Amino acid sequence: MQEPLIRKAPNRETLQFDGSETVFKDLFEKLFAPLTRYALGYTQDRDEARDVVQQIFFKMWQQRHERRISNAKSYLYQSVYHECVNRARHANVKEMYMEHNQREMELNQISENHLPETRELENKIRIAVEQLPPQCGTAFKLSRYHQLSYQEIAQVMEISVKTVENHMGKALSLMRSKLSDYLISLLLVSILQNLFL
Amino acid sequence: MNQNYEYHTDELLAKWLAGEASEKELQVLQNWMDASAENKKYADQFATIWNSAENEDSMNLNIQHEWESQLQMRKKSAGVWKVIYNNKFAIAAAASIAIIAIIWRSVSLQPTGFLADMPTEKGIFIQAGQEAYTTILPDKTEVTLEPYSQLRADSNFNSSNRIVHLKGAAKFKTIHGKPLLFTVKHGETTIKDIGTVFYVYGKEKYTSVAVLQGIVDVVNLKDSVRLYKGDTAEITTGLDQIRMKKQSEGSTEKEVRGKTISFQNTELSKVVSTLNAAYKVDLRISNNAIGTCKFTATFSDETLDNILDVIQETFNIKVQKNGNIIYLDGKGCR
Repeated sequence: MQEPLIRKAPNRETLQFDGSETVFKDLFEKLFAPLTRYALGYTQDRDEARDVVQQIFFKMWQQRHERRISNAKSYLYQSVYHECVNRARHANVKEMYMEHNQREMELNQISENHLPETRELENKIRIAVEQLPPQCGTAFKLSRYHQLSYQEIAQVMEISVKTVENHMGKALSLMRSKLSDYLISLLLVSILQNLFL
Repeated sequence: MNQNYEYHTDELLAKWLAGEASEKELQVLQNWMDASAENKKYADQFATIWNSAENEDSMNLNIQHEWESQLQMRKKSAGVWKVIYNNKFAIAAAASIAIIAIIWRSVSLQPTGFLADMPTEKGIFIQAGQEAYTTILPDKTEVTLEPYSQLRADSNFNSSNRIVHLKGAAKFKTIHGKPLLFTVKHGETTIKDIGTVFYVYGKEKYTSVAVLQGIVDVVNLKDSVRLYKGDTAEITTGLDQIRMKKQSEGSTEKEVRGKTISFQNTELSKVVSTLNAAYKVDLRISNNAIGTCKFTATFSDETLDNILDVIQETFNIKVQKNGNIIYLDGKGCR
């Protein structure tokens, strides 16, 4: 008899912005790094990604008297997305994104040789994530790396929650197919280790 | 596995891993996993991928350093103009305004406000920083925004309208212009100036107006009042009537614009009659001994209080108020 499935409790909190300096600083400290990682997927440049996020926070501060933001996290991710697209409006954003993914993969493949064996799976998965179709990859990253809810992802990407569900299912399925041989070998190693221990 | 069913399962598995699955969906998934070892292995592979994808490379960002950069951005923005227009003519105008702003900043002691763009709108957006900020609008209206107050105007400001929207508090020193009156809006309250200096405070449903000089009309949905120098008005959304406090309740000060009053050896009794007509007040002489005193002076756009001061000094008499009546009292001509 297998153990029953239990509902995963993701580490999510709804962050509201009431215009106060304290809350603003708290949001900045919590979200600056993940937002910059997210922006990097579009800008391809670390400094520009930092600049995008700085500008977004600055605008949020400027407009703090205009309205209360009930979900600051999705607001910020969406703002970063729009800012990145805006900056790249003279370029083909999709091409940039794919080029970035390609570069990331190359970097990962180079560094893979120097990674300890325990990080090999993580690295293979990271490559697989970057090889996902852009929309699938974005949805997966926002969920897994940035802990956004499906509702928040739908707001950021301006798609329906149902489409987010599709992207997430497809993302995991594609990665599983890509990594199936490796996952089977991992399972065999695990079985063998259990036998001899 | 049926392809449609497989994709449905993939979505369910993803929802379970992301913490989005309902109890009912978890039960469906549980039944599916219990149905075969192959299904269980399939779910385990999903879980392995999900769990191993947890850690993304850190960018090694120094958040404290980034926070300091953010604060620096605020400081740098202080006093910087940015006006968004959507045509070439307006851009040129904006450049002129920027020059005016720079000149203003150079003579200001501590300019800490800034103009910044509002992405969804075109026009003017001004926001004061930690301290009051004074600047000049395209129609030459001088605005002093109190800390953290905001002012915005549409892109056609100055050409077809002189309407600004205020949040917070500000002092306006305007130049009278027909047919376009300078107009401040806060909520349902409209403040139309008639060439003047006035102060507006607006917070949520409350607005107050104080006139420092000149005349202002205050209008809400069901009421309107005209304010003169020293008058104040309070408007609360939901209350039809504008609450007004006139300066004349405590002072005789009123202003007559565009009027020149000249007296040449005029008896004081005649002077009093002229002033009553000009300023619509009830000025009286309490002692006939001073009624024949001859007075010579010319006043242009002068307040009644100032004129009475001059009369008081000239004849060494006293000005006393009793309700709405103002008495001039003295022993005779000096």
